[in-house]
Amino acid sequence: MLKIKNLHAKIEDKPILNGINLTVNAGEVHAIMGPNGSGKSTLAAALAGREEFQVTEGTVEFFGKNLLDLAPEERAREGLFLAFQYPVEIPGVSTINFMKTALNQVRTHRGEAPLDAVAFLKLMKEKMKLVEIEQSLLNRSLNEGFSGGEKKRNEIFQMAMLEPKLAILDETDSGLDIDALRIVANGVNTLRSKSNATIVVTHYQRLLEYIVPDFVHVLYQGRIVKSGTKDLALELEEKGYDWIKAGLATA
Amino acid sequence: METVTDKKNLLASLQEAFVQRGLHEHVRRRKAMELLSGKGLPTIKSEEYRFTPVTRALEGKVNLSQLHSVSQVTGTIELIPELPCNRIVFVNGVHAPEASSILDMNLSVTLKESEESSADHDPFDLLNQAFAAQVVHLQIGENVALQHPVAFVYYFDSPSFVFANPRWKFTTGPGCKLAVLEYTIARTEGYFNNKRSHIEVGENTDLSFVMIQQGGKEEILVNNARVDLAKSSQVSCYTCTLEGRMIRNNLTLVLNGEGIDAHLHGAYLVSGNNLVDNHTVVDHRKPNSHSNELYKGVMSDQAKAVFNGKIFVRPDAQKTNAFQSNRNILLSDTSTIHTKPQLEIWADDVKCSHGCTTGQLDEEALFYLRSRGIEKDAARGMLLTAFASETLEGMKDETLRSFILDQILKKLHPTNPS
Repeated sequence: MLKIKNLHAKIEDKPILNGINLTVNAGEVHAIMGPNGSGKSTLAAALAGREEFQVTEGTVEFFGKNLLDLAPEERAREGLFLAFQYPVEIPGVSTINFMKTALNQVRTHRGEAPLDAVAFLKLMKEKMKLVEIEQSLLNRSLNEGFSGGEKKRNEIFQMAMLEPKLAILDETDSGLDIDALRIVANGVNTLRSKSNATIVVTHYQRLLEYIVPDFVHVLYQGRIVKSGTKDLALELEEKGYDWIKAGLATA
Repeated sequence: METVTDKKNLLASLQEAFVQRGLHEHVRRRKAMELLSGKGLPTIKSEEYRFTPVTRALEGKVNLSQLHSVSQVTGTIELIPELPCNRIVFVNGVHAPEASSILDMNLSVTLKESEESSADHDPFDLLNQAFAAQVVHLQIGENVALQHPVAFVYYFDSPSFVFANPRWKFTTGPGCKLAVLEYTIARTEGYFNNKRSHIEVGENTDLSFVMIQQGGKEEILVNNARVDLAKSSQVSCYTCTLEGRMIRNNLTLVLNGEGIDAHLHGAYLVSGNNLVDNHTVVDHRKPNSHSNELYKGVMSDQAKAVFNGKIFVRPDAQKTNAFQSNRNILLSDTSTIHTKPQLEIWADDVKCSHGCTTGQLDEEALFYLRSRGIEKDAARGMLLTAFASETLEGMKDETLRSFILDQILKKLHPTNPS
C-alpha cells in the first residue's frame, strides 16, 4: 500500500527527516514512536501534503502512485487520512456541511454518486455512534470551542465517514483522558479491516494498549533507528528513549 | 447640444446645469447649491474623502445637459422572485410610479418637491438636494407591522452615462415592524447613483434595513443613508457590497432616545480595481442604549477598501454600550484596506470598545479542509464565505439571507454552482 524510500524533508532550511524507509501493507497497524522533535509529526504532515515541508530526496508510493506529486486533496481522495494532533477551529463552517462537501468530492473521485441529504444523514448517524458524538456538536462551527476530547472524537468521526485506506493518527492520544482515549481507540479498532492500514504516531505507549500494533518503529533524528513488535513499545516504556539514544551512541 | 463636463471643472458644470434646468428658482435647491458651492466637491485633500476620489471619477464622465430619454421600465425589476415586496422604483434616479407597486395597504406614498437641508451635510447630499427630482415620502402609522418588505429599486437604462439623484424618506409611527430593502438593476454600464435616504423610526419600532449593492462593474455610488431612532426602537442594518466600480456609503444612525438597540453589519467583497468605502456614524445622544457594529471585508487583486467608524457618545448618553469591530482579509499583495475607528466620548459611565484586524486566509484551516478531500478553490470559498457570512447572522428574513449568502458564495467561489 505505502512504500516510503529514503525520504528526506526540511522545513525552511532545517532538515527534519533524514532518510525514512517504511513499508505498510493492507491489514497492518504500525506505531511510530520517538522522543520530542524526532520528526514523527513531520512525517505525518509530509505524507498528508503539508506545503511547509519540502521533500528534498526520496520517494513515497501509495498504491503504485507517486504520492509526492499529489495535492493534499488528491491524497485524501486516493484514501489517505490524517487525524490531526491539533485539529483546526474553523468558525462559520459546520462539521456537517464540511463533511458533506468532503465526502461528496471524495465519492465523485471514486466514481460513486454523491449522497443526497437523506442518505448522508443516515450514514452520519451510524458513524456518530461509533465515536459517541452528539449531532448538536456537529451542527456547530468546526472544532470551535470543542474540548480536547471532542476534537479528537471529531477527527475519528471524519475518518469513519471518509473510510480511508490508510489512516495516520498523529498524537491522537495527546490531551485525552482515559475515557476519551477508550472511545477514540474503540472507533479506530472498529474501522480496522484487512483492506486498510493504520499508522499510529505517538509519544507514549499508553495508546498502544488500546490500538495494538503489528509493528513498532522508533524515530530518532529523522530516521527509523529501531523496529520491532509491540514488545518494543513496552521496552521503551520501561527504559525510556535514552536507552535508544545510548545504544546509538555506542554503536 | 451636449456639454460633457470638463476635467477639473465639475462643480462649474454642475452650477451651469443647475441654472439651465431652472432648478435655481426653487429656494431650498438654491440654498443647497449655495452650500455646496461654498464647500466645494471633495478632493483627495478632503479628510472625509481622502481615499475615495469620487469627484475625480466623475470628471469628464457626467453628462449634465442631457436629461434621460428612458423613463420606462422594460426589463425585470425583480431581484429575488420568491420575495414579494412593496416596490418603489426609480428609473435613472427619478421616481417611476407606474413601475412601483404597493402590497401593504397601510403604507402611504406621497411626493414632495424638496426637504430642508442643513449645513453639516455631506457635499453629495447637498448635490442630491439640489438636483433630486422630488422626495418620495413613505409613511406608516401606529402599530403597523408590514407584511412585505419595502424595496427601493434603482433601475438604470440609458444609452449614455446617467447622473441620478434618487431621494426618499420613510417615517414610521410607534410600535411598528418593517423591513426595508435596496437594490439596483442596471441595464447600462455607466452611471453615478447619488442616493440619499432618511428613515425616521418611531418609538418601540423594529426596523431591518438591508442594502444589497451589486450594481454592475461601472457603477459609481454615493449612498447617504441616515436613520433616526426614537426610544426603545430596534434597528439592524446590513450593507452587503458585492460589486461596483466605486462605492461610498455614509451610514449614519442617530440614537435619539433611551433603550435603543442598534446593529450595523457590513460585508464588502472587493475585487479588480474597485473601491468600497464605508463611513459609519453611530451617534448616542441619550442614555441606556446599545449599539453593535461588525464590518467584514475580503479584498483581492488591486482592490481597495476603506472603513471609518465613528461613534459619538454625547454628554447625556450615560450607560451607553457601544461596540465596533472591523475585520479584513487581503487575498493579494496589491489589495489595500484603510481602517480607522474614531470614538468620541463625552460621557463618563459608558462601555465602548473597538477593534480591527487585517490578515490573510488562514493557511492551517485551508490545509485542514483540503486534507479531507476538498478541492483548493472550494476550500478557499468555504472559508471566505464563512468569514463574510458572519455579518448576516441575525437577519430574520430567511429568503433574503439565503439569497445574499448565495451571492457571497458566487462572488467568493465563482466555480461552485451551489
